[in-house]
Amino acid sequence: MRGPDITWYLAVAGVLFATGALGVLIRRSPLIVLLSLEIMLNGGNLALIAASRHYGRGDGQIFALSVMAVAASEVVVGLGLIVAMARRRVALDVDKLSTLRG
Amino acid sequence: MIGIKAGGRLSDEADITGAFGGPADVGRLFLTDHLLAFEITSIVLLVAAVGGVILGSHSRR
Repeated sequence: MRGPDITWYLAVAGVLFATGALGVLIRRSPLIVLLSLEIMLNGGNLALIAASRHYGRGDGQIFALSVMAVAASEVVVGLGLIVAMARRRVALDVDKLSTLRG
Repeated sequence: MIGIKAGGRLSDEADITGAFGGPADVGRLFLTDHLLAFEITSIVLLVAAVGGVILGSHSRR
């Protein structure tokens, strides 16, 4: 029993990526934008793992691990920014945060 | 694959059966073929940890 073809995995990864991209573009709260960004990264990871299995090499899994570590760092920094913004009573609204001034 | 290897070949390409993916195999790949990726990832994690602490600390106002 070999399991699904790589096409199915890539299709699911594409759906995940599209969902995340839609969320990044549409949602207003920066917290939800961060969440959608994580969904996009997970879609990419799934594509990497599927390709690694398809070609029988381990490099895709190494890459996916590195991507996960970078995603974790990005979430740390992003959430720290959101906490700092909330502490200074800045409105958590990506539409209002359109200038570089505090 | 992204052809960033650690300064020349340190080991063979991982020839895998379908049973690849255990910690031993991933660890061996990380420490031989993809050492540069491992080091850069660890530096990124360190910088993110320091940044998280700085961003989360209370301002002394």
